[in-house]
Amino acid sequence: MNPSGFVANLIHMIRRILFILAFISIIASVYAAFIYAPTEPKMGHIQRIFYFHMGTVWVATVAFIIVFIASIMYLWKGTRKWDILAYCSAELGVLFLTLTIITGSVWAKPIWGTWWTWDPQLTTTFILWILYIVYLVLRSSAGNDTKKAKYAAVFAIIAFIDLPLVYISARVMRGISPVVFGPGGGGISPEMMNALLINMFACSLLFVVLLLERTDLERMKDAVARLKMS
Amino acid sequence: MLKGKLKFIIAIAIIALTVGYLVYGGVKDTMVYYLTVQELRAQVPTVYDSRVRVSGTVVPGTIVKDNKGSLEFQITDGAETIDVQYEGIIPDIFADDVEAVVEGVYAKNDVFEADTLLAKCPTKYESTDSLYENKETSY
Repeated sequence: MNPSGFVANLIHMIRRILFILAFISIIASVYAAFIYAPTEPKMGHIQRIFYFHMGTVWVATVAFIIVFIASIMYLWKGTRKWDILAYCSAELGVLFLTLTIITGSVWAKPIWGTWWTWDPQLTTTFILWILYIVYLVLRSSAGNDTKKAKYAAVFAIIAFIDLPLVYISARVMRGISPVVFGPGGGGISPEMMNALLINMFACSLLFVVLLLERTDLERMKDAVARLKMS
Repeated sequence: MLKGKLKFIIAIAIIALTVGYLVYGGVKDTMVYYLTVQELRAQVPTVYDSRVRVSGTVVPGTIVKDNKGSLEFQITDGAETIDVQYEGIIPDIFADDVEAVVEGVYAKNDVFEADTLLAKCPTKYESTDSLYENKETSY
């Protein structure tokens, strides 16, 4: 089952490189957000939180897309690896979405004048956060019961409906959250775009590294359980 | 076993209905996050003394602050204008021409008594140095 010799060494090396790259790009992203990016004239330095806010919400979005696909694959193929991928990705998705909500609140307090308000995008985001926490509870309480695990997968697939709503709500409904990108958005300056892309890249790498480690851990747990049984 | 399945179907149905209800509620005209000034004025006199949220652009030159911390200004949506009275924390970017969201009660004397004042942030993030240098405060 374990890849041996050359392949194993290669995988190990690639993982090492990924880890180092993630570390370097996070340092670069901090530099880009705090020093390289220009200060927004209307909001001042607090606007710099935008780069982390977007980086984390981007990763949360990708993570929930992975949960959706992995859950469908788990129902279809029934193999444990898809189950592991869905659960681990959901865990990281919730973690990054929590960071998005916290950075958003810190930003909103001085600019909007409140930590939180029930505008359409914030409401759908809150629902999204709750849905995936419920999924994590459902899946972890199912344990080895594959039938219950599949129920949890069905829940994860249904929960995904809310993800596009988060993006659509700010565009078609009245709210306070700004639409910066796409039609109706004001856009950002080129240097800000560079800083944003570096942040999104760094967050993505961090996510990949964490997801690999987390799925490994879950597989090891399975191996330990099997050893205990025999 | 059948019981488990039934329970599951009921749970899914409840979730589907809840999501559906939230979507419906969001789309329905009356359940908007805020009213425009014109919509508020159109609901006079039934809107008097009920709690609402209204958004409009701050009319330049109408902001009056007294030293006790209360604030008076006007907001407009281009069509209609209302007077707003507010006491509390003022958002950093609150100024002339900023889109404000106020929560409170529209009183019979046609003054909106707000207890919450929010400012919408710009959707365009600029880095114009000239704009920045014109500011008196430096960061």
